[in-house]
Amino acid sequence: MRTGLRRASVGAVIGGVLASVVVFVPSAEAAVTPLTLDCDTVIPGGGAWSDVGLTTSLDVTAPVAAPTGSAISFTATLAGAPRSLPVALTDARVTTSSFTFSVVAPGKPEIGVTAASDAGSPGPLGNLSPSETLSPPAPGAASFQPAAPYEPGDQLAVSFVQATYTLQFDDVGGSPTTATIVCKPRSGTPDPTSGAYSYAPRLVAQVALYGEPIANPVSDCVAPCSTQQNVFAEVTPGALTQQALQDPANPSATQVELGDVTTDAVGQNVSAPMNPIRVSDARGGTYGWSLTATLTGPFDSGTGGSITEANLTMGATTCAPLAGSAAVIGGSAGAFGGAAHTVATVGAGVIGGAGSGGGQYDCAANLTLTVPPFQRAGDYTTTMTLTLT
Amino acid sequence: MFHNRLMPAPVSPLRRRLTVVAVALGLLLAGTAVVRAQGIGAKEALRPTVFFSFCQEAQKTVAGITGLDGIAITGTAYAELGDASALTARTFVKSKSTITQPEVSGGIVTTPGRIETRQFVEWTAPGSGKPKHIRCKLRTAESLVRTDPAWGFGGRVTVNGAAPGQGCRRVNEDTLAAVQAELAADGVTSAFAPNDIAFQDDVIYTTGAGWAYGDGTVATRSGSQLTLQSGSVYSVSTTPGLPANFLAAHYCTFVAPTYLSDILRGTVTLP
Repeated sequence: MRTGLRRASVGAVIGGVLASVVVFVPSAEAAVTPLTLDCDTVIPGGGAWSDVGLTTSLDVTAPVAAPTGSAISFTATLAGAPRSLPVALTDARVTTSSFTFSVVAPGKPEIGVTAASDAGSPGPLGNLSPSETLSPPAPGAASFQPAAPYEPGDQLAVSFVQATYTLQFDDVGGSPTTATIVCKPRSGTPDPTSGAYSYAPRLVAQVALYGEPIANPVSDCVAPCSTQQNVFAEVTPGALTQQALQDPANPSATQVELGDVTTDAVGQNVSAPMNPIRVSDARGGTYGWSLTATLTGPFDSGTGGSITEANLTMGATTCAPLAGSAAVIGGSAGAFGGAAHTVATVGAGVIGGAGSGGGQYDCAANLTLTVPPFQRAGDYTTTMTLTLT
Repeated sequence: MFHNRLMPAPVSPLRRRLTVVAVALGLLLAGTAVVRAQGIGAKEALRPTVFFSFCQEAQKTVAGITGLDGIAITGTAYAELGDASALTARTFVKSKSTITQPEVSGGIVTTPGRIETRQFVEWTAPGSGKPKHIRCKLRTAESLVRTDPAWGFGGRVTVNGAAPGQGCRRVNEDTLAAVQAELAADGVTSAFAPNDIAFQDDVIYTTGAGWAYGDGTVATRSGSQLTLQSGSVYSVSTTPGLPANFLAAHYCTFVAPTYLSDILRGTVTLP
């Protein structure tokens, strides 16, 4: 997966004048969003079927950037499909299925988009057992065109609104009847008072709009007049990196000196700062990242002594960001020994002042080791591994 | 204890139902529908449009509705009974029957009002597709004819006779009649003679949750006698001291037509 704009320069003759034309080719980004859908089926005759808790995911592939005013295409694939009706259906099939999306940018009118899929399951006429799960529909393709007032710099949020299926089957007298199944994503936990779930569009993709060069810039004219020059710059994606910086209290950037303690009848704490980690995200996208810490094993004296990982605690993390960085969340205090300890994260989709989720942060925390009572004397060592993903 | 009513002539229940629907639709176009609920037999009971309209038909019967003017009866069936301790409104136990007033412009109904029923089916076995009991959350007859728009539709709904409506057992009676008519049409001898089929008055529950989780046994056998009995909740809309969302509730547990048919055909043996 790659972000940013790639540029290709070609020569073209436009109106008899040789002009330089630059074509920006935005790369596509695939994102899988887990969903819990509740489905309602409208039955002819005033009935309805309420089915809840379809666990599935939606995979949307969309460009990360596109020129303003151009058609933007994307595809959507739903991993699951709702159950059929609780009674057996004869001569049944899903005749249509589609996904509805909402595209918005702050302060701009909403754009409704429908991605139609194929006929879906069971395709040809067949029989469905009671509550048989329908097969997921084929990927749906859709496009939309953000015209004015959309403008370069707008960040479009593409959100999934609902999936709709038309289910055909035989009813009384063998006559074909259709029911409409509408599945909407839950937006959270039930309301504590009414017990009602709320449903809201779920963000599944973001597209940044940029200015498109004008097709026929004027290069010469007779005054009073103007000429035009398309000005281009290419921003290519950088890397996500980490670097350990030596804290003055430690002997090096790869060593933490917790200090000395004398064995006693009560437990004692020794503490020191970890060497700060400088995380730099210059990928130019909105992927987010996570820095976690684990211990490779217990503290070991090499002479038979051992102190379990759970006795080492990392304090709350503070991260000093450079200006323009996206918001970071420092990890809370916690002991080692279980799951990897989160040192800091930037969430996927978070956007900073530069229009990306990039930034640079120096993240630091204190490490505290509790030495148990009557601990065997020795020099204890373990290794802390910091992983950036 | 009451015994079965007289059996109807062996007319195809499907044909009867279609006739009623056609008449009702024709009158609905004119603005007023004359409602005549019929029992639902086993042969068409699992057709989706019939299956999902069971409680709608039961609403007509139990409330004794004879006319609807600009009012439709709708129903939502739930996949999940639900946990009373869990706050999930999308389950049957948390659902409530309700009404919605019509939208009227210039004396013309632009959007019909609704009597909204709730339905939950207990199956003979999970995933069997064979209903055993059907639980319906309905509205009381006395509430539907009230002029207070919070509770009723005034003259837009007319009910047959006394406002309290009829017991849940009336729907079981109609189901039995329809199923017996099917057996007669098929030349099948019922495992229970008409005089050996009895109805008992509804078992009254005081709370909706107690009813929803209560014993769903509707059909029982004692020797050669089959007894049908509904569990019900009945809460008059003017009952003092109860929260508003507990009022005007008429809940019933019915025997499913296919299950009753299997009992009479002897393919299901009651303990």
